[in-house]
Amino acid sequence: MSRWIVTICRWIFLACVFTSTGCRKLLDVPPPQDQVSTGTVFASDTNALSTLSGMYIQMMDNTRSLLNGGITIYGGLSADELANTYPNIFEDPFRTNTLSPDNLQNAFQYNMAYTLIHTANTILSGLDGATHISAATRAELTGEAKFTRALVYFYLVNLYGGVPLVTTSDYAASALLPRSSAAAVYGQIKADLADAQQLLTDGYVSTAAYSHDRTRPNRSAATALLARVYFYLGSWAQADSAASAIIDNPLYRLEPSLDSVFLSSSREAIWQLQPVHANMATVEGLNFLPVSLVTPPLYYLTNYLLSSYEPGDQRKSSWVRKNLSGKSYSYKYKRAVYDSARIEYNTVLRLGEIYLIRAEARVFLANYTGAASDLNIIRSRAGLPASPATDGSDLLPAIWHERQIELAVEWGQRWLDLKRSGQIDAVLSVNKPGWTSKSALFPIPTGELTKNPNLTQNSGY
Amino acid sequence: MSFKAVAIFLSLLPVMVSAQHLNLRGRGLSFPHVFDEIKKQLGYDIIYTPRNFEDAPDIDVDLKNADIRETLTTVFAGLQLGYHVDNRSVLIYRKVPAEASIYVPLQGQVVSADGQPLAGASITVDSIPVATTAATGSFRIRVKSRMTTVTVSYLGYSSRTVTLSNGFLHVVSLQSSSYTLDNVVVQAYGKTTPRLLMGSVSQVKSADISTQPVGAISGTLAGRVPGLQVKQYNGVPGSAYGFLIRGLHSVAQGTDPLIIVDGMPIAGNNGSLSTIGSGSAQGLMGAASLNSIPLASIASIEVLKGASATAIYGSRGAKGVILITLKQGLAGRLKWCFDVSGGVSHAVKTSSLLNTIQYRALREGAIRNDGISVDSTSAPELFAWDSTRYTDYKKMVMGHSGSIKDARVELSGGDTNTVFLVSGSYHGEGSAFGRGTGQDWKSLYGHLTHQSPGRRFRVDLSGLYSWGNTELPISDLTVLQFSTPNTPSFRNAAGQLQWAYNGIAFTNIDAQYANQYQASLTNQFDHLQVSYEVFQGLSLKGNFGYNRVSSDENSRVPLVGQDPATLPVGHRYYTGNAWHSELAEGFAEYIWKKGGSRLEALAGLNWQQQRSSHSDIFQNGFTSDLQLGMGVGATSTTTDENAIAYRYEAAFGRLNYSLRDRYLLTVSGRRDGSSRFGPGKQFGNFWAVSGAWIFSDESFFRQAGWLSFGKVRASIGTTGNDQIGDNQFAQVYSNTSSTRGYQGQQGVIPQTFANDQLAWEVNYSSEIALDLGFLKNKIVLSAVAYRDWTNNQLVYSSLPAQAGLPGVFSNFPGEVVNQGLEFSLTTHNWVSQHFRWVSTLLLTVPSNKLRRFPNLANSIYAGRLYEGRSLSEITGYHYTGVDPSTGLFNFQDYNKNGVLDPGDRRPGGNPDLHYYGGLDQSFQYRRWQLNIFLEYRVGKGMNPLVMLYQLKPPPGMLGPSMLNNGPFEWLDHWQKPGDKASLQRLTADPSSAASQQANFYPSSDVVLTDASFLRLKSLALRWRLPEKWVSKTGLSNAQLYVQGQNLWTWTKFPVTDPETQDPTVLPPMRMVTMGCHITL
Repeated sequence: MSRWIVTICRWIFLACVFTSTGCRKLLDVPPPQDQVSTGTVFASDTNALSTLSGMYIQMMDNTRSLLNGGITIYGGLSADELANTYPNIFEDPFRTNTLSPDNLQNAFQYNMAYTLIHTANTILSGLDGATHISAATRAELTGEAKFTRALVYFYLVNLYGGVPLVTTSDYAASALLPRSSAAAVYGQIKADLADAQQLLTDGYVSTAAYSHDRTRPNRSAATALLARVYFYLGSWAQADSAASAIIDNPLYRLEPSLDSVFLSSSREAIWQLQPVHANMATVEGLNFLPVSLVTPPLYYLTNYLLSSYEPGDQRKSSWVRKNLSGKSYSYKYKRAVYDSARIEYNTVLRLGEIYLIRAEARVFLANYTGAASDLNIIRSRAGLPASPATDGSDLLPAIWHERQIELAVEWGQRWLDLKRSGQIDAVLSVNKPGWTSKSALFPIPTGELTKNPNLTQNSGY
Repeated sequence: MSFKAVAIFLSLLPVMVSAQHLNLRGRGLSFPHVFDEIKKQLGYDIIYTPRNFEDAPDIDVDLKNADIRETLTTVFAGLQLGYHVDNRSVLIYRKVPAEASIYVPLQGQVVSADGQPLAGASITVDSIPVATTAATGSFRIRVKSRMTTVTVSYLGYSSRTVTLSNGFLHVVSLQSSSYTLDNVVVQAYGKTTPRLLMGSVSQVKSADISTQPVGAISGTLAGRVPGLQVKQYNGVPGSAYGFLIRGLHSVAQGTDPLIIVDGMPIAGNNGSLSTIGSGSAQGLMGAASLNSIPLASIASIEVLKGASATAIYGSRGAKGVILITLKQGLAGRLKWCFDVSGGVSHAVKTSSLLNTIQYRALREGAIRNDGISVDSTSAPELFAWDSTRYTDYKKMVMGHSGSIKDARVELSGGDTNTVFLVSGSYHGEGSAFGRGTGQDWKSLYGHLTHQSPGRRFRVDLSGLYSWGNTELPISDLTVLQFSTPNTPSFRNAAGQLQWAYNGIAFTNIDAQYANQYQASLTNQFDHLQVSYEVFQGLSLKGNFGYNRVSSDENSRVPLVGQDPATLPVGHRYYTGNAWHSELAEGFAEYIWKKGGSRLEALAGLNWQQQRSSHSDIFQNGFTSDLQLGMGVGATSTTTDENAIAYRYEAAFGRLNYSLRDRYLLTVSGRRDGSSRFGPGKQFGNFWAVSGAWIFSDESFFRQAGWLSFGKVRASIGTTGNDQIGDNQFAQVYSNTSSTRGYQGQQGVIPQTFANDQLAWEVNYSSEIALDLGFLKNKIVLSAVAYRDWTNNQLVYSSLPAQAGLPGVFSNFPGEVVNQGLEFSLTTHNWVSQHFRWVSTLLLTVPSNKLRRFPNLANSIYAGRLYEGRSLSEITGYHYTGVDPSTGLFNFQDYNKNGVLDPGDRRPGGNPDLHYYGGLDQSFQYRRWQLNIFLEYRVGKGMNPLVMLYQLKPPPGMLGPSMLNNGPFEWLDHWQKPGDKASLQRLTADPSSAASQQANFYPSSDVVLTDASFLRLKSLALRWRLPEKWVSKTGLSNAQLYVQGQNLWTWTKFPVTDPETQDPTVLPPMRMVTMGCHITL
């Protein structure tokens, strides 16, 4: 009997060895058809490039997510330019600057930002192990992924302060990271944009049917964003030279007509985002335009903003409209419903802003003539006379005012400007009853603090 | 050979024959004639080999008052023939010379009642096993005397003790055992009996299944298996059922056990067949592929619980295993069976709804309660519509009777080497929604078994092909019964559908029938088993199978069924799903015996592959029903396609040792690999150990005459779970599907993380059981105590946003414990020649709790799970009734801050069953057979009144937009201070205090209510026609029967059935059928 037990044990042992080694191949299955594995995605140029389309679709798929209306609406509400018509427990706190860490809309903005960062990081890590990708494709993928990562971090650091700096797609390495300093985040942004400048080409990548589109970032988009970053950091000389590189580029010129600035054919656009839904044009058009002249718009412009327009400013007639009940709304985007001609695109970076960046940088570089010249180029397009400001002390407020009007309800520029220029407490304590300076930073969502014990809340929350 | 075997020995029932005498006189009589006379006059069966008399001369006989011996001695005079008289039979043999040695060989053959040789039967002499039968059923032993008493025993058959004499080839026929302890039960990779069973295997026999008129296997199991909870989701024909074996183990994963049909895991398991976007009346769980197996083709169903029974299924056994064994043919002459039945079904356990007068009283009362006058503004429909009109919408929607039709033809037969069975069956069930809606299954089944003449090689081939058709509304119409009773006619005077009357719109029930759902379902099942006995004791077996389950679903929402005022467009959905499963399995079995020791060893390899594919098309925007029918003219078409593969392989082994059939030990192990896990984590090991001691066989117990059987057994082991979805370990991208794409192109986005931690989830289970048989096993009691625990379950855990994706599968740090007691008691209350009464009582007492969970308060499960409580615990406010003074719902303000806030929420009980089971009564009186099965469940369930209060609030709301009728329970509402009512004051104002309180109502513990019930689940009465009638028509058997299902339910549960619990789905149907069964 013992002989048989030995024999049987030997069989079982052999079977175990058999299954654990030789038969492993038998367990190989292809991934589900609606899923593609990382290896497949980065096996060829064509496949790999679809990660970029995926990234932009992800950016544009959820309306009111950070880069698809979120920063514009919630930045606008938080600052002094926008108000919501209908009470909403998630939106009101932005307008009243009483955001709680439990606010779901705030959590959504934060979440979507990191979702995009993860997508960019996954592209970068996917390229690491890929051997069949051409150098040109690799440059395009790396450049656009880094550009996107920099763009998202730019908004994160401005909305929340120093945030966890995730540059890996490995959740085990990223999930419990503590917050980095704002400087470190900016360091990463600058490094990413510098790389993107190197890697991206001067022209715009597009498909045949969309050949004139500027919806994929190019070298100028990286330079323009870099100009903005230097500008925010007070690196005036670098901001000046980066802005000049754009302004001197013959590809870009100010649209003489204010009505053309936000069109997909705009020559002023440095980078635009293409809406992806069938039933809507830009998210701005969808949210800011009332359904009809008798219905109130979802969001209207504050009296403070409206009263800031100088008499004769054509931007008030071209970019602002009033419905029958007297509510004024932003009319930069004039279409809410999708049209097959794709007339309007969500404009992220445009030459108008670059002029104002250079103007302000030149003030700090004591180039007052140049500063006034840049400022007046913008004013003149709006049908305004040249600014009386000529020196450092009055040019700066004049440029800030010009930014308030020119960049109104656009990508949260006003909210970020108020913080950047240090005016926020002074301005908002007048315009917003009960303003406290803690509200300059949004709170880190509660859920994040519970899931990652290493995170700290912004002070005051 | 000196011993020429020439006689046959048969002795059946030990019936005493009174001594009689024979008178016979005649010349030239043949032996057969003489034997006939002996049989006629003396009542003895004469057993002889006709060949021996072929050359025998005719004889002259003159006998008077002769007894049997005298008769035979006389007629055999001078012939080399002898005889042996048994109780009732006479054995006639050719005389042979006696053996000189004192050790004489005794040889014979063991067969079943139908003549099948039984291989492996054991022969004991004086309680010492001396031989087992070979493949031909033959045995040969050496004995000390000419007449030897031997005991022949075989699994599943009653043992027989017979006295054999040398010199004959004895054929010992064994009857299938009638005692529960010796029934054959199927276990993993083999068969055994409850007597020798080491784990928990419960059997439901074909007789219990096929006496129920339902079409679904799952529906026949409820209450019949300790430890198995079956949940019927709704009463719509063809709908799926849910299973839960020994409680909820897992926080996140499914509860379906592994379902194996004839050794082959069924493709898609118990998963839903239907996934169509429009939905169907079958509800979220859809149809189940299990329903495609015709009940009459099932020989038995075994439910395996606990590690010792399931560990050999390793990774997939954690939720239990259901083994379904299909019928095989029997050797013998060609046998035709026909079975035809028909009947009706009705929805029962529905609620009485308010009539128009009651409805209006509530509607108007609510408005007046809020100080508003009842006028054409507050209740416009009362003025616009005929306010006295009454229609019973319950009857209109679900009051139809569905017809049940069953037909089956079966042909079987064969010789000792080859047997076959082929059958064709049809089962159709109409639904309570009427208008031709219903479901049917047609199927063909065949089974062929061949053994080589030496019986060393055996092959079994079976195939089942079922195809079904479902025609149903696209949603469960039951909810429409709550239409207000004064709703105007659905058709105007011209007979056209109308959607509003005098400007007030209503839901047109008639139009709902325009929305059609149609599904074609198929199930193809092929299985081949080959076995070869290399030498005595060692056999090699191979199992190969293929199963394909598919569904093609269409649904249409035409314009004709939609209100033209809403400018509708037509939609069309198509979905195709298919699951293919392939199996290849080989194993070796070795049986070794010496003295009282018996060792069985089993080792094998298994490989399995499953592919599932899905495709769907959604077309929208049809502006004409003609175009919808043809599928042209859609303004948008969305298609989706997916295919998933799954592979699985395993090596397994089992060692089974028994000493004198009294001390038993089993060790089993399995090493499994699954494609659901990433590289390095694909393989897992599972094991189980069990032991049993049949103490009643010990000499000190044999004295106790009342205890005929006693066994104590215990086991511990592990099982696993890989039901986590496919490809979860890999970093994968999914395709985007935005309408416009980016620059016209679609892309891919990351969907999951690479997760190298993803590995087998292991469950531990242990049990201890006592099996007792009293009074010659007339009372058989089995009691099992089990405890299963699971920790480190793989669940989807959410991650901080900074990780980039919402979550990842990771280990669940809590420990879940399921424990319970299972009892089964079978009593043979009365066993006599004409009357037989057997009862079986089953009882399960389960418990489920989260034993510990470190840092629960900081996990995503905070406020949802509680240490020491069930996983199903409900969290909510504590409902304290309707305040008699204010007439409002009242809730406990635990934190005493004057308002109800999340701080007042507490765990408030759970809907787990406290205990459940069934009582089966089987009576047999002469030709009558009656089976009654009662099912009971005791515990709480989800209160349908609360669900209705939320979904279809009591009548009253201002304006024409929210109009509902309700159950008569609504009448018990608070009206004036001091009233003690179950429902608060009615209100018409959404901002009233009552409306505010109503918000807390569904989030309070009042959602739980007593859902205990006792149900007359099935009743079957059969009558066997007298043989003399039957034989005249050339039939061999004919029966008439009446069967009923869900006949009566005793419960306090309101509105709907306590099993389905949801007032918006069709409750289970009461079914009654009549039929006849004939055998040719």
